[in-house]
Amino acid sequence: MTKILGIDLGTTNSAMAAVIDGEPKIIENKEGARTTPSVVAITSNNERMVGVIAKRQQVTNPEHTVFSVKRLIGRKFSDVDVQKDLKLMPYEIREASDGSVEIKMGEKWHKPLEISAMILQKLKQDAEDKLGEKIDEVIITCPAYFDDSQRKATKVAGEIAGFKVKRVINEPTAAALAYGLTKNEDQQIVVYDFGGGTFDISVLEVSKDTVEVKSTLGDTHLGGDDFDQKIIDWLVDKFKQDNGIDLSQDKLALQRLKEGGEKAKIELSTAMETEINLPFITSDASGPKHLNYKLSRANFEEMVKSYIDTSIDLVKKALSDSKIDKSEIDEIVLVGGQTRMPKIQEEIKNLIGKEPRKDINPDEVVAMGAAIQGGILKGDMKDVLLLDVTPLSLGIETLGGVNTVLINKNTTVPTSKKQVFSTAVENQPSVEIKVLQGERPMATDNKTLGRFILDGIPPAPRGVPQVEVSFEIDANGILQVSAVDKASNKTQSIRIEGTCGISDEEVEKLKKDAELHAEEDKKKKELIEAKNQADALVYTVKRTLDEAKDKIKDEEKKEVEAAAEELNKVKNSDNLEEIKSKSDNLSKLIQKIGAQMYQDQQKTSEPEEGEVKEETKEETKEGEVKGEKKEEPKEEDKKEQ
Amino acid sequence: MTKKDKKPTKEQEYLSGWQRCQADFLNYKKNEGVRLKGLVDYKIEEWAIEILKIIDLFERAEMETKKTKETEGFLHIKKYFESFLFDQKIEKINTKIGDKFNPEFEEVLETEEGDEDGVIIDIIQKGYTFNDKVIRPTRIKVTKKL
Repeated sequence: MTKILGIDLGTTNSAMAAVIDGEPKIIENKEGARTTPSVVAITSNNERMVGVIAKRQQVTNPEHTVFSVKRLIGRKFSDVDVQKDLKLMPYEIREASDGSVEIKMGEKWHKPLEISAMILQKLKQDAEDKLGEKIDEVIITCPAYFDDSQRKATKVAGEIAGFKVKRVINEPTAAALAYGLTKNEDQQIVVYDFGGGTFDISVLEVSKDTVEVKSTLGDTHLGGDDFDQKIIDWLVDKFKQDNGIDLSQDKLALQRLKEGGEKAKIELSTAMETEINLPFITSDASGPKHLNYKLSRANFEEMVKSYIDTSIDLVKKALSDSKIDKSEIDEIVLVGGQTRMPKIQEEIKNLIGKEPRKDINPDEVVAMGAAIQGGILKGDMKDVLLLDVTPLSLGIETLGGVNTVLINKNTTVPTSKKQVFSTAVENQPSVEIKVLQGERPMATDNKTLGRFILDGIPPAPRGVPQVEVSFEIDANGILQVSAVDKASNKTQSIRIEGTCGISDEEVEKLKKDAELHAEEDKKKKELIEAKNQADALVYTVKRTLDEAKDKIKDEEKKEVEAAAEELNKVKNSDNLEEIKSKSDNLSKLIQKIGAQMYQDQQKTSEPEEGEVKEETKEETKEGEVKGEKKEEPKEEDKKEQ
Repeated sequence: MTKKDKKPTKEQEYLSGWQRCQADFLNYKKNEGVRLKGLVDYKIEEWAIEILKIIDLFERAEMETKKTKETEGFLHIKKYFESFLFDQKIEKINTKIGDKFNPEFEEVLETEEGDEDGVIIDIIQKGYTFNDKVIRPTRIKVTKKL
């Protein structure tokens, strides 16, 4: 039975997990890492790169290296957050014709969800390579504050990547699932998520079949990286004071400060004091300079106090928004690497009066939870099967600009609701139905999903006409709103599909493009393998000819050398067929010589048994090929010993 | 004529249960082996990265100080570290100045204006692999066409 992959599609890093032998396990990527940077790039040769490879070339290609795309997915260009991020992103962003966001990468403009799809596609391929099986189904997580269009965009990104997206679940819910907290009903859980670049706090309530997000708040520009930066700034300032040299201008020094700062931060989670020792950090006319400073835990806590205070204030606000008293909180779950800091654990414990749960790796807990949800869907595990719910309330604007909610948030879908409204003025001939999404009481503070006008209402005093408005959400989350005037039976309706700014046709086209890209990747991989093998073969042939020069006839040697030369000529080209055929040819010739040499040797050393002779011959042949692969490609492949 | 299904005897049932148990155990043993190797490799990688930093420091010191008999002794200590890492299959990435930048093995820290994109002009920090996995990319300076 195929597995369902659980993906934590993060702002800075993404992680994936699956249930293997009944337990959720993190799946490493192709590069052997447990998390993948959420970075995509197109090089000047139009080559696409995803993950750490894209990150490594970021400095030389910042305009076409897209990071933090999660901040833009499913949003309108006019969105306040998008406007804020515009100034921070080195890549080009513009408003699309439908008001959504477009990003320039290479020569093309892409929707943010296409970029997310590229990350998901890499994860899919890596997972399939690692597990040795095809993976078609996925659970993707998203922040609890994501609205309908952001969720829909996340789902479409998964589909473009070639997945069947089984669910898009909330990150805090996934974390709670990983800890098995959803098994008991009526639990109130606080999920404190301090990631690399963002901070989120959510208050959850577990009830039968659903996990309701009672409140969620956060700071999209506060994360663990800010903590590292504080240490780096402190080191740069102190060194400048002591030596008059500005280390921030020296790239290598800065790289070492980054590594040293991060190491110090980690060490201060267990030690009360740490030494940042960076000898030969720089040099001037008087000779080399060394950096050696001590940093105490108290000092570090003082440096980042404002960040921790901000997060704790947000927890307090989230609790008050949820209308749940802190004494009613049953569990606290910590997510994100920064929560390893003892001061953070202490502050949250002091605030709520409970020991937080932290035994699962906080960088991996969300992906693990997503995998568990996949396991439950497959029947591999038993727990709460989360039903799809509407993340935000849906309603219409009524008299005085009020948001009248018809379908409450966290209602399981499919669902429908009807309500009768009337006119606000005498002889009103038409009503405008403005469909809203959000929790705020005033219409203008919520997101407008669509609008339509129902006209032809017969003249009547205000309050008399009866207009029945019905909301219907189908299993795919598609909302249909209709209004009918009961007197005239006139009907108007609108169909709202989470507007992620992309049509079904476009999705299909992008899916095909992605498949094509996967095919290209496969071909590229094949080509690289063939080139490596050709390199190794040429090397082995050369070695064999050198070692056995006295035992090989001249004409045979010449023939092999010519074949090797031919392979040498084509092995750096992109012609896979030619490389393969020339390799085959050379391989056959050298095997022939190898076989001849053994026969000659055996003639002189009188073998004991025929059968053994055959076996030895085969084994040695195998050994030769293995030897080539192991030793030489490494050197050719840019490694030396 | 139909053949009646024969109910398995208790012996057959136990035998099949025992066989399954054996198979499960063998699979478990195999998986545990893979898991343990992964753990050991992870640890090797972790401390190798730390030792690489020591080698970096020796190299920095070598560049910054005049060669004397005393410093020569220190360079032997460096060699000792290097051969130790070599024995553990930690291999240096063969990045060469003048080559085209390859993000599979290298990371760009700085750029400088040049006639074409991505030609390596300086190696800022050496990179290494372990079991074919890049544990630290070579940190480099490359050209950038403006």
